[in-house]
Amino acid sequence: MKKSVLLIIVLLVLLGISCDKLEQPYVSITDITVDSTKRKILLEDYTGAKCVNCPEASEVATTLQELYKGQVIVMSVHAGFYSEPDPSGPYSVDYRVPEGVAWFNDFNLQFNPMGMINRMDVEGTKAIKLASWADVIIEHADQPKLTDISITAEYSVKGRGEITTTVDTKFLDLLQGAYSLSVCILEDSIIGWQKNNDTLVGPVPDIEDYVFMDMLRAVINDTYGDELTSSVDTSQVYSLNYQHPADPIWVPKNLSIVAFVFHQETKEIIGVEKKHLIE
Amino acid sequence: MKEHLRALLPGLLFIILFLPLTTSGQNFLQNSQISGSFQADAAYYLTDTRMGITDSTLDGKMFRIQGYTEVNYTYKNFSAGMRFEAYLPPLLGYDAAYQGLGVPYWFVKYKNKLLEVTAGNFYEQFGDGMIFRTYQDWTLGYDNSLRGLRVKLTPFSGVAITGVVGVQRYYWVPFKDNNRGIVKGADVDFYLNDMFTSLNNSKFKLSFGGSFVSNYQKGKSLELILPPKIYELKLPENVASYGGRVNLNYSGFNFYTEYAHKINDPSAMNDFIYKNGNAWLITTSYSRKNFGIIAKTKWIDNMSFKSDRMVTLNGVDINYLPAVTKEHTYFLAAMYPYATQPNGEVGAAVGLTFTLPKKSKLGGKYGMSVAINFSQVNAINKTAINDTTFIGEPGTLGYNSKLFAVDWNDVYYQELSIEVTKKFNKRWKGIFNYLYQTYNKDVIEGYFDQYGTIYSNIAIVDLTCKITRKYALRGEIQGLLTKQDKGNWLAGLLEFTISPKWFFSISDQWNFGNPKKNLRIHYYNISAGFIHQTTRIALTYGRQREGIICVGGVCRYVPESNGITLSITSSF
Repeated sequence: MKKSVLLIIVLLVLLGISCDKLEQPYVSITDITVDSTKRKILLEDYTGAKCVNCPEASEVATTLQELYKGQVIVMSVHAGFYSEPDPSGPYSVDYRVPEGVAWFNDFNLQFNPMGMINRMDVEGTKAIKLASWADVIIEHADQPKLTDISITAEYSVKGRGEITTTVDTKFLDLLQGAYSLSVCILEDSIIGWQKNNDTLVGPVPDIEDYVFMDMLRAVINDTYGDELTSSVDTSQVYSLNYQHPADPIWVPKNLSIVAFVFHQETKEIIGVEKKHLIE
Repeated sequence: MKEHLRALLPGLLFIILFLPLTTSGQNFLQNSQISGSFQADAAYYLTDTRMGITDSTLDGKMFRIQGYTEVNYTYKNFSAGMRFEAYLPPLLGYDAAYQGLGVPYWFVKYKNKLLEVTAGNFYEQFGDGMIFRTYQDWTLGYDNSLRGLRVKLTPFSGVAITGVVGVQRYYWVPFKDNNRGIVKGADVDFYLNDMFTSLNNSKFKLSFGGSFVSNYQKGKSLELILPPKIYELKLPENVASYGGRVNLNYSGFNFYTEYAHKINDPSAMNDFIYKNGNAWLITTSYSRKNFGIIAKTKWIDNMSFKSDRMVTLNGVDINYLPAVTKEHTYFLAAMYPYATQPNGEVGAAVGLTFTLPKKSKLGGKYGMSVAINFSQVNAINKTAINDTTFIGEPGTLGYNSKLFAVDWNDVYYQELSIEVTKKFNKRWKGIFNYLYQTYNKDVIEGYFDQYGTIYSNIAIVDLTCKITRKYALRGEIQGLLTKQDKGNWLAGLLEFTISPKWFFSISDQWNFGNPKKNLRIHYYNISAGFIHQTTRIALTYGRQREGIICVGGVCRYVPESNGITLSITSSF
């Protein structure tokens, strides 16, 4: 009997200390201020129309883009198993582009949703899971700017439509190594079917009128772009011009150009800029 | 693979430990008991262009099977058991995280008059479960068993003390670091009529009890990004809850009440608010021959309690919040079931059952039973804590609320149901139902302002004809009328039984009132089954409509499908 009472007392004492009553304030709040002197960040969201977790990822990417308005640029790349179209039916539209698929494979991204943030190595991999996107961006939002990138772009209706763009790059620091430039075309507001398992985003299991944003439509200058320089000269402006045919299904007012400069060996992006085709 | 091997380890240990025992000692075998159960559900899914089901919607996994085998061994005061589960892959509608196989449940137990000790997994409930309940439900695909240690003491007659400590099952995810908490709890029950000999034979019965449960999850802060701000939240590593209950019984009258309280528990479920939670359940009933009445009410305010604060779906629930609404089995009555809202709801229900006696005017030769139920669940009334904080703002107390203050403008669910059961003659029996349901689909199914509230009238006629002692034919005709959601439905079923072994049925649910003409689909089914002693085998071919299935207010989503399913259950 005494043992029972003792056991009860021990239990109650153990449980009694298991309670953390917190006092206000419960939270410290910091505002995000975008500093134009800081390096811009490219968040590549590798997605697929048949990926049920991808709408949630897209929401996170959009939130981060809004949060760091003008500093974070989202590029939504359809690649991976869940982006493969069906032969027929609502998921028969192919949103992939060959360069996006190559990046997905080359950087060993494995599944959707998956992200790359300035193609940096984080804990030994460029593949960054959704849960870490915000942390990685917050951690790297204070890095100094290394380039000034300026994009001019225009859409011409001649023929079946053509996009002309010029990208001027100026290095702000005397960086070592060789650097290349990639130029991509993105399109917003594409309506299509998307699988979904998040009721807060939309109907489950299919969203019939999902609005795809920042979708990679084409890479103008191949998978790994064009070399800018193998020996950085900070006094020089590196200028490259491109013409690219416009696909008739693209809506010109929803198009934008994204250009990014990256180290040829590490593939890390050191500067990125975005310009809407029609402002 | 390592995780699967780890999951299989307890099973292998069980076999290694008990095989020698069962083969070496004849007496051991003679005095021991082995019992168990088995279930396997297999499905071959078909593509269906009408329902929009393609290879990709099925992820290319056309054949799916899931099942379990549970074995329990008892020898005198000692018992042990285990359950092997396999989901290869899980059937549609079950969480894909179940994919895999292993032994998620095993235990060894010793019991004598004073003490019961369980090591391994166990299911336990304190009171009605409002601060602690672990359970398993195969239909829901739900298992939150606690793996650890449980001690039960009976120091005196009429006093029961329980202590538990452990970590909860979360699919096949092994416990490590801070991926979920360590749950500790204690409970005591006093049964006064057993404690005092003078009350042993009293018609007046009284018992009361109290519980304390705490969850420890590592992590003192959390960064949360909500544009345009970053919130660095303080976290309580230990979240405690406590509760008390009283049960009175006199003759046919019964009164039960339970109150539960939980301290600050910011989580993904409550959008990281720090308000204390509380819940109150009151049930009163009276019954005598041919008459029964029951009234229930409950109050729930910020009472989600999980051992992982980041989980928002079913799983790792430490507590269970009982439902006051009625559960239905008829197709259309069960189309819009209620799911408990742990962040806040206030509900009440009244149920009346009576039987009109035989040979009375309405009762006729065989009498007639009537059951009337009414239930309603509303939002709780929340007010802002100050002028600068919106209701539910993360990192704050969230809102103010007063006990049983109802938001009358926000109805989550309402139901009136009337059921009449009448035997017409030796051959014919009928059950007649009418229901009126109000169902706030956005709140109950977790949508954001997409579907609104559905108002439906449902009528059901269920007739059984006992052709001979061996043969019976049962038919159902059901109708659901609504102007919202997918519109009107009609359903029918015909079931032929050859007692005691065979049954055959054919059914159809037709969404004839769907506003989209191409979605006016027939969800037909044909099935046959065989029963032999404790074994039941059923084969079904047909379509499954989309919806949610709820048991006790806990629900899971079921997508549309078409295919052949085989189900085998057995016990020994």
